[in-house]
Amino acid sequence: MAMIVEVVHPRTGEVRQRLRVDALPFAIGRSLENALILDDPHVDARHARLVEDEDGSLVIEDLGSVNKLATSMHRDAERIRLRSGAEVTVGRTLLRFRDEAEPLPPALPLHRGLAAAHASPGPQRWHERTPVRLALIAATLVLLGVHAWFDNYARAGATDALTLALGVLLVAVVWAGTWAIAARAALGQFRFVAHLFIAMAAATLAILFGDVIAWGQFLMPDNGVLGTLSAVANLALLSALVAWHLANASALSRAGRWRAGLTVSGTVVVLIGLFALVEDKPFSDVPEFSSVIRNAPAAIIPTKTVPEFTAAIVELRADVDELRAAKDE
Amino acid sequence: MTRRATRVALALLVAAPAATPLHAQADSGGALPRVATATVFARYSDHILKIQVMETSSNAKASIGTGFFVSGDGLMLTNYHVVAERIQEPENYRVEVVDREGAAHVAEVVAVDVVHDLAVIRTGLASPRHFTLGAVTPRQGDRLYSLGHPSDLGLSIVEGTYNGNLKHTLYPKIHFTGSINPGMSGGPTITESGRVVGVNVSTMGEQRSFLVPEAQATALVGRVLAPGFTPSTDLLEDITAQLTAYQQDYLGSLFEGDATMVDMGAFRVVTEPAPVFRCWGGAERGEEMLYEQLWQRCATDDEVYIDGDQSSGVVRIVHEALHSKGLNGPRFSVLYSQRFADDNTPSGNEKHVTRWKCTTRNVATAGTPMRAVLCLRALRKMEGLYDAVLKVALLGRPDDGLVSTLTLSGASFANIERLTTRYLGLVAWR
Repeated sequence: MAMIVEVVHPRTGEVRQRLRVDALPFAIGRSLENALILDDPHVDARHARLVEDEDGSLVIEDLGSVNKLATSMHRDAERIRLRSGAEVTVGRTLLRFRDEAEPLPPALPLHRGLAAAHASPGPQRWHERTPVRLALIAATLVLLGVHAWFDNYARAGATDALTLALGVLLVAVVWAGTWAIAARAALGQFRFVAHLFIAMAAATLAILFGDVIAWGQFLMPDNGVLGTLSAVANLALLSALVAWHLANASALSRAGRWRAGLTVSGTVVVLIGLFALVEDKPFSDVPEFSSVIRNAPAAIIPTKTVPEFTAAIVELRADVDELRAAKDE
Repeated sequence: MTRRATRVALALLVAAPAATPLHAQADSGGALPRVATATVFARYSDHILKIQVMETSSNAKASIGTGFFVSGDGLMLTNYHVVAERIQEPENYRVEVVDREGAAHVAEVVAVDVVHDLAVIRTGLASPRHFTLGAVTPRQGDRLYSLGHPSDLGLSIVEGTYNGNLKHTLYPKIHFTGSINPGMSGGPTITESGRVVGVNVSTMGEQRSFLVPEAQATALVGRVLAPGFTPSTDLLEDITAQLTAYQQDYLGSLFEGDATMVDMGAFRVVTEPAPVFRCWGGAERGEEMLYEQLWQRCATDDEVYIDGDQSSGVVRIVHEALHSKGLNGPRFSVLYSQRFADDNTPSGNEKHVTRWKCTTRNVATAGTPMRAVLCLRALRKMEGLYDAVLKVALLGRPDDGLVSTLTLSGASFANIERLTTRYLGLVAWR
């Protein structure tokens, strides 16, 4: 395992020179006989050297120089043990030591990275083309409008539907704009249409999924799994939303994007859990029940017999008696 | 100050806009020689005292009412609702009677009749001058005198006329045309010869007042005066037993036999299940509305007051029929869902009831699919009694819907179960 020494510009952080430390001792100074020659008047001719200490760790030793060695913690140091990332000032020159085996992030793909701004774009898949995306955004807007129209019974339903669709669009524009600005900062690319498309697609999926759940609750009101399913699906959608945005706003790997998405969902779950824990649920005299009714022909609605309903009521009584007993204590 | 001291017959008030005055006022000025009201007051005012319920921590009046002596050894009769707080929360309230000199004396409740809203208290005062209860048969139009402490303004006397028993009630109540006001609850309404006709209990305002008949008062006082009577150690248990027996009385036979059915829009629904129910109806058909809505509500007038906003003995049936006028199937189902979700359950206080728990199923009776929800809550202080709301929505037609609700309060589980089963068969398509 060899160490790399970098000569860094103290203000800009730009690396001016890199050298591999192949052989020890490794001399550092202003004279030309050194392994690393520093053109700095505050550096001695023979200023310092890299050696191995008794444990086999790399250290930098001062050779009786005028200005000695300095780190962010110590001035006038004479001997400093070096780990990967260590920074030592010699005279007015900043040296950084790095392990050659230090892990690196993956390379930025050309068509997404900073280079893309200057290089010719790579081949685009059909759904990545802006006109296609704009068409899909328009389609989701129409879908939202129609859905909103079906979701009310007022005479002015069409106006309400239009208002709602435009409201959703406005929120999506603000959301996509935020992501686009983040993408501009991270990758140098704005990609507003891509983010808007993602937002609209996620909103549409959430609404359609809500419809499926509502139908499920209508047809199978005693199915306890639907609530859980709905929660899991919404969290999955949230994870996907974040991962999808990150694909257009970061250089993260696919696994990294999904990790970020799941972290966001996990945080939401934890926050909801914390609120549920802290919130003192007030007494309510308003009952909660599944009131959803859908327009379905009688033939497809699964029904129970009256005795089955009565049996459910007997169970209900046990629950209520339990509530009564719990409060009595 | 006197929020509990006078009850308002809410069910009647709600229905009032469509209702005409119950009876024309009897003309009671007449040929018979009359004793001056002042004479009546002078003769009997010392039989009557103010009752105040004190909140023990603040040592101040929580509510006031009136009571009157019914024996020589200090027993007084008043309304249950005057002293309800003491019975419901004995640790926080005490009962006091205020004598004519203004001194307060602690009194204890010894017996109650919660259904008829009566209570007997023992004062420890000597009461040589008291009313003797016994049968009295006034004629409609007879002049009566009601005494009590309206709004804590001091003992007052109010003239009015006897208008017989109310019709349409589960238990008898006298209709007295005279101004009974908050604070007069528990006071007597008497003839000029000092016979107690009834006990002041509630008002609808505008001289429409109600009395508990003397017969119920006589029965309760008789029980206390009988040899061997020992005061109850647990009045709440007594109240529970009384309510349980009472609900069995009126719910036990409800919906038995042939029910009266009526056509309403596309539906056939049950109506006026017993003579004590009164039904009102209406329709909403606005130019702006894409649907038509018909409704019918049937309820008994009788609520048994328990405490605060908690009452018992309510039976209410509500039918709401919807018909689409241009809404497509999905849009109509949104309207239908919303009407089904509308909350029309009785309110409740955490002191008295648990939270609601509901169960929902799609049920079929005689080939009619319907969505059925039963919500149930227990009365905390009355074991074995529950409030229940059964909501039903008929399914399977794109243009028509019916939301039908049966509300029961203070009912046994056996009755709730039986009435639920029966009710599901009483709503259908035409």
